[in-house]
Amino acid sequence: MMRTLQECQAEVFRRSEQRIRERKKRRKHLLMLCIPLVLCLTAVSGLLISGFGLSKSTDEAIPEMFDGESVTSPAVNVSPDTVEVSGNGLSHLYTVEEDVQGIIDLIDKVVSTMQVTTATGSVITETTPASTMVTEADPKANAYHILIRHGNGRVTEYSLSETFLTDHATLQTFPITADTYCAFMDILNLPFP
Amino acid sequence: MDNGASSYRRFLDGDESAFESIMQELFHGLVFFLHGYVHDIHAAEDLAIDTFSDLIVHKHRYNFKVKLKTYLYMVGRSRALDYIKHNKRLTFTELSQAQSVSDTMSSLEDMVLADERMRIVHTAIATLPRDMQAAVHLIYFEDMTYEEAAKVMKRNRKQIDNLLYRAKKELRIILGKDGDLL
Repeated sequence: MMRTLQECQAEVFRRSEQRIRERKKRRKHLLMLCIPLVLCLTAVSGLLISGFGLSKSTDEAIPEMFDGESVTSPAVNVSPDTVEVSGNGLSHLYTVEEDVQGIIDLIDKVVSTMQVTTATGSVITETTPASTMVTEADPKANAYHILIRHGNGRVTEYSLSETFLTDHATLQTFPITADTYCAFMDILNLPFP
Repeated sequence: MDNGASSYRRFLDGDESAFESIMQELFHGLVFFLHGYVHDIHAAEDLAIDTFSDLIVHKHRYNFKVKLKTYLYMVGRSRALDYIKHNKRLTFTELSQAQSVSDTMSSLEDMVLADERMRIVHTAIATLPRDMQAAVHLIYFEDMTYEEAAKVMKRNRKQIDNLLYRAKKELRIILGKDGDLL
């Protein structure tokens, strides 16, 4: 038997309220499920981003540390080479700051002139040991004392007489000509004999 | 008369009695229309109740661009087709209940089809295929326009035209000389 219109209307309202209640319940359940899910996703993505950012900053730092071209530490200042001359009647020690490299080059030239390449390929220096000298006195006598302070902190010492240049470190004596001696006097601003 | 739109606006504004006037105007017609699909008066009534409860649960789905009647028939038809899809098995009615079902249907027809001629035509229409039945019912029994009927049946106007043309042709054959009734 068919329901009356009023019964049908009552049924419409009853079903409507039931459906609204169910919708609210489903929405609430969905929210209860989504909030922890969103929080977890946020935490995981935050961890991933921080981990990625950390590794990226480390990776970027590494090439700078291992860059072969930038070996010299910028904090170290290389001071210029200086030459100090004393002895042989000089009243005081004086420092030569001009053309220091010229002095070093002249000394190297004297040393290299005496170096000979043997048949085996090794380089030897032909020097006159102090013990074999016959005629003159001690090569360091009446000699100027030359102290070269290099910019990297190394110090080399030589004695310069009219006929010999002596390396204090190796105790090697290199004979020099009168022209070479005059060149030394000139470059060191010393008085000619 | 705007087929319930103004009553629905009053209902949305808080006047619950307005819903009663909507139901008085449209409920039985909807049940009759849905019966054409599901062929079960109680199921049609249930579907009509669910359709009307949609108006309350989803208050803002109806946008007043079509008549309220058209909107209700659209929703009802969708529900009926879903019902048919999910209830394809035959329903058996016990003999003792058959008479009451027949009586129920008769009382519904009494409500909707007051005119005897309309009853005859309706009996003939019941022999037509489902879509033709729906088209004829909407145009000639529910006084819908072709556009409104097209919206309810989710077809275009041309398709409704074709359905009606073929339905009339069939009814002329079924009703014989009485086909002039349409």
